[in-house]
Amino acid sequence: MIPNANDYKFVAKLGNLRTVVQLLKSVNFKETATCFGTDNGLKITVEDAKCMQASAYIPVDVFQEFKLKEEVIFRINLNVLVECLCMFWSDINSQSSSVAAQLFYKGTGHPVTMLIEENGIITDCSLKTQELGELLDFHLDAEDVLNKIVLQTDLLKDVLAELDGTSEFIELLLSPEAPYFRISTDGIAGECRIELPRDSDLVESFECNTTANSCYKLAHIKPAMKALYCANKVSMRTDDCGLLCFQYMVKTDAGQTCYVEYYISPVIDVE
Amino acid sequence: MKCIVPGANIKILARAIHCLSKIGDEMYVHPQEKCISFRSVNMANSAYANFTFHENYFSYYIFGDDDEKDTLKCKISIRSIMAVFKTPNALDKQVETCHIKLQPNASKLIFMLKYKNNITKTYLLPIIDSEMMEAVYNKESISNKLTSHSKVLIDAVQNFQQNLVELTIQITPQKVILRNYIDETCTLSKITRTHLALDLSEFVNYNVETETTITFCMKELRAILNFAESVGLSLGIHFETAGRPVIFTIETTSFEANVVLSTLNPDVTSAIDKSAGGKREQSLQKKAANKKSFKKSANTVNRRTINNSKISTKTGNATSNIQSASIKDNHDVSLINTDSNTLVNMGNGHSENDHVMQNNSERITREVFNYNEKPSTSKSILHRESIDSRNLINSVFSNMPKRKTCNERVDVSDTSDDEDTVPNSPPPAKKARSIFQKCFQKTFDPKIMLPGHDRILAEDSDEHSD
Repeated sequence: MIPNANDYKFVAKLGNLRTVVQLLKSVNFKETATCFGTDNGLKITVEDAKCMQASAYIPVDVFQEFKLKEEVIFRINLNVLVECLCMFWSDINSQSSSVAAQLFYKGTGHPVTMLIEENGIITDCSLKTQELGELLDFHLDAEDVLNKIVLQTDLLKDVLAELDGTSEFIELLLSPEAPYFRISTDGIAGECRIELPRDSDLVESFECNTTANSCYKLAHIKPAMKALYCANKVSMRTDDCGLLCFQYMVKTDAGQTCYVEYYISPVIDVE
Repeated sequence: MKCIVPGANIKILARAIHCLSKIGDEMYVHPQEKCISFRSVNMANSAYANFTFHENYFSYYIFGDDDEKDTLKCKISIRSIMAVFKTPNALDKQVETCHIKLQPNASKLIFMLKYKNNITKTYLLPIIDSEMMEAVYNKESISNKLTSHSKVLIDAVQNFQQNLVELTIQITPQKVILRNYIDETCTLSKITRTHLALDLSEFVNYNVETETTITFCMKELRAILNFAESVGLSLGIHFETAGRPVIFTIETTSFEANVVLSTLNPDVTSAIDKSAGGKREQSLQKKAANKKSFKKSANTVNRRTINNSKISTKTGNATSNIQSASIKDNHDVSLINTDSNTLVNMGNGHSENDHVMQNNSERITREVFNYNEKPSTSKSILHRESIDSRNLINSVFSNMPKRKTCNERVDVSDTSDDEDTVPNSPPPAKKARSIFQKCFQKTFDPKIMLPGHDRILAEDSDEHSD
């Protein structure tokens, strides 16, 4: 039943799946994902409309077993992967989870095989890999970063949950002077401006050098909020073009740290 | 105008807004010298709510200059304000203060919520119109008054079905009987009837001078009851007779809530009943039912009038101060549309001669015949009339024998006529019959007409056995 591990370029085994499934779900706003297996771990990247990109990083120490002959890149349907894992969600989500998953990948042209084991019952899933597409290289160089804020997620959770859904855009103002950090929406119900404090206990660092005002589509921000619910900390950075980066720090039950990252490009012309 | 609501009081404001949202789609904000009022009226102008918060409700209240007085009022959409007070329960714990600002001739009403974790949310709510609305009623002049703890009434109301539209309250010097309102169009065998008697000892204050029975909408009552429960205060009920508005009040030193509901006017209903217009009303309802509307006939009638009064309100718009006409004075009594208005006036005005009445009822009779009523329903109406007539001793009609006869005539002819004219409903369309038409004809004989008819292509499937 269990394939011979030597035939495969990439073999990985996961014991505690709860956080991993949460990470996968939080980047699953589009169905196609590109996975990178490197010596550091597994990175799953999802891109939408060439203007937003999300990546989930699962470091090596989260895996019970991580064997890599050479670096691999494969593209799969993330919906299918998440659905397969979610069949066992009630068990995965419980404290004494006994679900384990093992991933095998032979190389280009081969499917990714996933074995999910629950109490001795093995489910064998085979995910077709797809032709690799082009991925945009979003990155923020340290020298381009205008503003950087590190927050406890609790502060943002309530604020973003209550955002006016009828608004098409969301405006973000970061400034070294008052009002420091402001989120504005303009929907059917009227305009709403939310000002967040700079010096609260929940704000770990607030580094703003210049006043930056940028506008994003609410539809792009919404998926980036999904990770708020499983994350502990979030860092927000913007550069001089207005490119926004959210970096979430997610702690697994065993104490390891995973990351989820979102890049969102701004709306340049708002009429 | 600028005011600040302290954190502990925000819940009351939030609940008040939620109550207003159950009544109307728009909210009128009207700051005054020492208080601020939030009002709402429903589309049909049959329900009106006014929440007035006095100066001492706020930690800071400034009205502004006297010359600004006329410009400080506005109308906003309920939807927009609901965005501010989405979660009344959570607000209480998280919000420190709430600032409300209204500038003269502004286009936005500003609500600012300051949270305990230093977040500030500023809502700029678009002002739809700069106008004022106030219903005219005088609860001091009303002699009948009941006061009860909201809990008692909530428990009482909970015994009724959730989808109940109207509630009838019968008030006697000893007790109050609540029952679900059943309009005559319903088949009695299909309805659950609920009666609930509340002894006068259940009430804090029981002042009833005249016995009366009133019927009003449940939706608004639930809204004000929920508010009363959330603030833990007792609810006062002021009422006169059926057809006159009933006023629910909650009063404290810092705020006051009044909800005025129009009550069903038995004079009007019975007048229509008597002149066979009850059928008309029914047919009205039928029309409504066709439109899949669940409003009761009484509502339909109400709504129509109200539309009329709305028109009058519109014209009154020019003079910036609008008063909702339906609640105003006697207008409530004449809750009936233009057509039937002539009827009501006729009934009320004793001087009208029989000739007109005859004409009128004939016209109505004709109208009735346009609708296909089943004989059984007309019977139930007759039955209903007999009940109604008991309640309507004061009604002008009961003193008019002539009226009765013509009424009888109508009913009789109605019944007989109905039997002739009512066509049977068409049989349900059966596709099979139209497709295999020939097979169902009596002359059809498969032995002659169909070669190979006895050849079985597929055996009957086995019967399911367990």
